Amino acid sequence: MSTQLLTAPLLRAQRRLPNGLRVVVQHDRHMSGCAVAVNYRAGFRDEPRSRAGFAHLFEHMMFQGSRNVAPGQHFAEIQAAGGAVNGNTFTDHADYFQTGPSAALDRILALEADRMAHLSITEHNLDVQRRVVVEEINLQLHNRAYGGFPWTVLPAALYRGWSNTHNGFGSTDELAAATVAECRSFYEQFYAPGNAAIGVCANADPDELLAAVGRHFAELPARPIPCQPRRPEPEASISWQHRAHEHVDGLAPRPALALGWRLPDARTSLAEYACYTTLSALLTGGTHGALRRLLRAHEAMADTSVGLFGPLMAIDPDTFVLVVHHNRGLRDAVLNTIDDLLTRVSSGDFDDRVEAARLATLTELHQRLDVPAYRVRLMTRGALLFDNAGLAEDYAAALGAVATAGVRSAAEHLRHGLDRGLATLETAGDGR
Amino acid sequence: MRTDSFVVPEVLSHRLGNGLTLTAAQHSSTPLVHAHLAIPCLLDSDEHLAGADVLTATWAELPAAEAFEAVGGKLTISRRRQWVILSLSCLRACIAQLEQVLAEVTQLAPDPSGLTTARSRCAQQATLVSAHPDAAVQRALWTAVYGHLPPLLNPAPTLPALEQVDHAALAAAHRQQVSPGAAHLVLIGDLTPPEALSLAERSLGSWTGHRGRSLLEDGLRPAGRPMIEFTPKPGSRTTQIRLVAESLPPAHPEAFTTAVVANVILGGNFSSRLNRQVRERDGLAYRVTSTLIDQYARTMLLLELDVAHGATAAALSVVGDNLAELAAQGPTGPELDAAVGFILGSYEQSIGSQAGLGGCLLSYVTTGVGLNLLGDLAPLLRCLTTEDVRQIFANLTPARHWGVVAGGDTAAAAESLITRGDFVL
Repeated sequence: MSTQLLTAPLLRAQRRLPNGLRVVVQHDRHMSGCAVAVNYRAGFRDEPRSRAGFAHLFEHMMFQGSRNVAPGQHFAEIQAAGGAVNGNTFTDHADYFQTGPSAALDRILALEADRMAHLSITEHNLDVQRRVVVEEINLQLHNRAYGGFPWTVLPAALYRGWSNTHNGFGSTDELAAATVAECRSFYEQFYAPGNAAIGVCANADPDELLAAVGRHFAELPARPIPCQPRRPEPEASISWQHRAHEHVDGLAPRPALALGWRLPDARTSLAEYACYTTLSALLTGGTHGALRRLLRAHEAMADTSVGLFGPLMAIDPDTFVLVVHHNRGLRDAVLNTIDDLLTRVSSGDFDDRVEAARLATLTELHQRLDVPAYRVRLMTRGALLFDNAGLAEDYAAALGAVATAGVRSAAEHLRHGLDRGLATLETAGDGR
Repeated sequence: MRTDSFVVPEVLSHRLGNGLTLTAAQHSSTPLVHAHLAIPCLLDSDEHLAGADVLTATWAELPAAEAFEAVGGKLTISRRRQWVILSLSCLRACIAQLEQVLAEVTQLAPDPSGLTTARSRCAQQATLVSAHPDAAVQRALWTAVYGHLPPLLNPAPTLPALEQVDHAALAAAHRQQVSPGAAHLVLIGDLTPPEALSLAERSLGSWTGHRGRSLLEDGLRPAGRPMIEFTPKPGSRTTQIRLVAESLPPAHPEAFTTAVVANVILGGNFSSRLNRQVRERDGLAYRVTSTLIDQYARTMLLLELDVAHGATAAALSVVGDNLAELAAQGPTGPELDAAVGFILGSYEQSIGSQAGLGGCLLSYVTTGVGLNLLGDLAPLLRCLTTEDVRQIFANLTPARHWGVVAGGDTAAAAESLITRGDFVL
């Protein structure tokens, strides 16, 4: 089965500007417009220790105007041109992206360059965006059944270092304490060109695209980039049963549990990482995933994911996640079912399902890469976090090469690994 | 920056002998093929809704569905108002398995052995959906608008209705609902139009059933009275404000296109009036949005604002002031240009991907907009004036059109809603 990602060959070029900015461009023959992503290495793991949620709050500040751009103008200009624009903050990076007609490319680059070099940070803007972010937290976490579960709580059951364990949405108290001076300091360090990557996909010659980026970004002054090394997450050495995290949800109709394991480092072990992707599809892919079938007897719903926010969204430590919604009193039965299944997968009982799971992962990757915004974001993230702008192709090749032994080995790790964290969710009412 | 130079894709539209309409376009950006089978259902009771949900849940249990997943295929089932939609995606090399799913779903009587599993899955899903605060607000909103909750607008059937779906009900649901007469098959991806036609004929050509329902068969009649309602939600930190008004239907392309523009100007994107003011200027909310939604032959304009407690009155004030101003003066010229540019650009981007093109075509054929709008959209938009848009808002404003529902926690939210709610009533 072919693992070619797109039906047209790709032409890609990359360079690093003197100010440190990584630039990667790609010629996409099928695209009718352009897609641009600017990623900064400024995620949850980079925020100050007493300011949980600061990186996300700061992402909102990036739309509040810059030296030559009024507040709201970035959204207004791109959307009036027929484009889409948004930003997200993840574990290791803040991700800004836009798509639009080809004619808008030059203006998109100008807008991005202006806020990379000359962001406006004011007390008023900070106050307004702090209120917006609090409402976002209320909506996504507190006004939604299973809101934020498990990504806001599972890392605390799995890792030890604060940067890896805290809730990236943060607390309203810490957000309330954030100051303009802190915003300026964070911006100076973490939003420096040398701490960022820009990616462009369009139906145009890569050299022309490189030149277009150079016109807007090459003259931006270099700034010192963060030099504090992250503390490495220590290897697990105690049993997972002692690292459970409990959470109460007032809206959830049933209890839930989430298990997490540390994934292989995708920068050095992409082939191994791909085996977990295939295992995920084998366990909970479609209606007939092996775990979904087994849990029917308990009227439980199961899902797995590679990464808290999807595959290749974070660097090491990254997390394999398994979530089950179950009826009250069945937690142990569910955990036993999971362990029994992992034992069987690791011993080869499900070898005949590996091919189907492998194909499902490739189909899903094709679907995602059909969307220009996804393509440009993965390419840009690859360049910034993984030092690999061709991450999509390498990942596809790794998925295509997954063998049964690798899937067995991944299942064996999940069954025996000391690095297993458990987060449980209890209902506040009388859930079943 | 605006450009209208995009190419409208060539689309095949063909009606099979059994009444099924095939809509197909080749888009070979990836080696995938996507099929959307949309079947209109009669959903005029909770029992009908439960029967349709359980029936469609059994589709995933069919042998062909399992074989489809075994080659990496993705199968999803969704319901959008009265339409049940089966969506299939797979590598081009696996279209034989895709065809088999289409054939079994439409032409095999439902397998009773799948009933228990399907019913259980539906109950779990219904419980989950109903736990979300938005479900209660949606139910309150449509109940207020129509005087009762139309089953097709219920986010999920009730658990008692699901429990009552037995073998006979399952068979009846298949017999009554799964009919080719008014159904649509949309095929997109790495296959030519002749290949698409051949696929449709092989898999669905022998599908028979009673005559399907017409899109214009509208059993819904708004109650015609202005109303305002507060739904208490103890423990909630957010007040969910929902406002709805009837707009112009897709059967009138010019008016419908104008309504689409009005929606964008009001709350349809991040730079819309309500987003600029409620969110970015005043910091009252994170989510502020307006959408046009189809309900049989009707189109409703729905505003959704999830605001902080204590901010309900202020948010409603901004909404009311903008509606009044837009009805009196219309949008500004730059606002109109920006909205037109946004719609054209979004449309160009949408049809540039397999998923986007498939979604666009599916929407056009199921809402009644029709495929002609593919080519007509740009010229229609270019002809619009600010006065055209003003008239849309002027027609929305009379009291009889608006319904307001808010769910929240505090008495203050209720008081402010009632105090300010009269801006539209």
